[in-house]
Amino acid sequence: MPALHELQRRLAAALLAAPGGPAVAVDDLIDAGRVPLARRLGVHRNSVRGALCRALALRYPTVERLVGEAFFDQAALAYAAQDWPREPQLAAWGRGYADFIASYAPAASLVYLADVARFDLLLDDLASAQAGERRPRRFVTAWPVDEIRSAVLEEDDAALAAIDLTPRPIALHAWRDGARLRTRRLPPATGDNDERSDEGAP
Amino acid sequence: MKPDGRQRPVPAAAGIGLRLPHHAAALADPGAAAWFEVHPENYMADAAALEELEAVAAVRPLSLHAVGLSPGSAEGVNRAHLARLVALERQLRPGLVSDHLAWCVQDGRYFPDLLPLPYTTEALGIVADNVDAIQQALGRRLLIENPSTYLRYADSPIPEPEFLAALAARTGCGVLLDVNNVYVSAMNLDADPGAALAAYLATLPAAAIGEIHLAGHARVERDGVALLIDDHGSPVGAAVWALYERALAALGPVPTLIEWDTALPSFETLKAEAAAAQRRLDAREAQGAREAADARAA
Repeated sequence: MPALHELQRRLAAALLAAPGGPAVAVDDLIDAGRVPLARRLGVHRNSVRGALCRALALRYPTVERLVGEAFFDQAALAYAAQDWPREPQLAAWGRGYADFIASYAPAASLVYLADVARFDLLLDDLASAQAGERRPRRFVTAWPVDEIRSAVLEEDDAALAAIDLTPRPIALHAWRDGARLRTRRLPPATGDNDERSDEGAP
Repeated sequence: MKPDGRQRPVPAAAGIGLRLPHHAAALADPGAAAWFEVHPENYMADAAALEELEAVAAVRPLSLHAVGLSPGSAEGVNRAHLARLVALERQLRPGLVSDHLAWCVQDGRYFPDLLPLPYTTEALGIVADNVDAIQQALGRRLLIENPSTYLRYADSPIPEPEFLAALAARTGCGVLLDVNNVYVSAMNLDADPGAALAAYLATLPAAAIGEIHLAGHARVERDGVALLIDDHGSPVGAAVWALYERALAALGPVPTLIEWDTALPSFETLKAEAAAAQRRLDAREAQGAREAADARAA
């Protein structure tokens, strides 16, 4: 039996091993008994993967519902392989997900998906901000991410199908109204995303 | 390490595991449970949720049940995470603070699960050092929960109750006895749940057991072989209620939490589960009173 540090290194490697990839042998460490070892390990592997996918889905709800759970989970695990969480507060993990999606080949046909993710992140930041930091946020994009988010989260397939996906300059204003998040379109404008604004809630 | 007077003690009554979607319901109906328990990690990156939790803590005792301290990690405790927990503890003044007999950090990577430890003298020393560090930082006693188990290491010579009893003796920590985990682990390792609970009750000093957890589990059968999954996604099962009653008979009333984390039901459903636990606590309390009266009469 190896020292605890080595045992944990090997078990972690087994949990990180990609499905279908080379297996990491831990059968000398574990008494499988009547249940196959792969199934016993699978409980932990599924738990880890499920928690990572759920954490990203909570932060990027529009992306998840837009692409469906299976595709979302596949992308989430590919992202996790590049940016594994280092801290237990998973709500703080995943800030690089939108940039990852922008270069994620299986999602290449969904050219607006990265901006949908960025808009989800902006609204999640706004929702979780403390009272003194809930200033309105501005978001500039080429895609109608507000219409997409609204249609997707309201499960309005007709509205989703009717959205004009022609790229054009769109500026959005997002703010908190009590516990609710609100957004509105601004006149087309130049400027960076999330500009500091002295405006109050419109 | 005793409460410092600013903490609001958790009573020997039924509490509810509080999740973000139920904040408003808990604030509207704080009498739904005698106390609430939360995972502190859910509030470390969500200031808005923390503001709501502060409002809950103002009207009901609170317990912080951590999932990320990783007391079983050979590489030691994540000091940054511990500092965040200490800050929350100072802010919320919970009656109880707990984590698990498990590990979830390796080479700085966080695995969102409770991974099992081999119960060896080496592991006992490592967990004791980590628990010492956590308790020193918090300035109070930590409860350590027995895990649900899906695998057994080839070299794990110390029975789990003895491991926890030794840990409590070395560090002064308490034990959070998860009765559902006792059942799940026993079934998954082909042991008798009743005997497993009896071993816990015979091995651990009653004073060490500071809290009990109850939860539902799933039974997954494949190729005729069943495995129980501690998914906290259903009502407490009859077999677990029966074990709980045996635990209360031995221990007397203990703060008892209903955990339900997946497939989250309505707050009313959680209230009903807590009420079912409270009925058993009340019955045990009444039995204790009768026994005391009989003893005085004798």
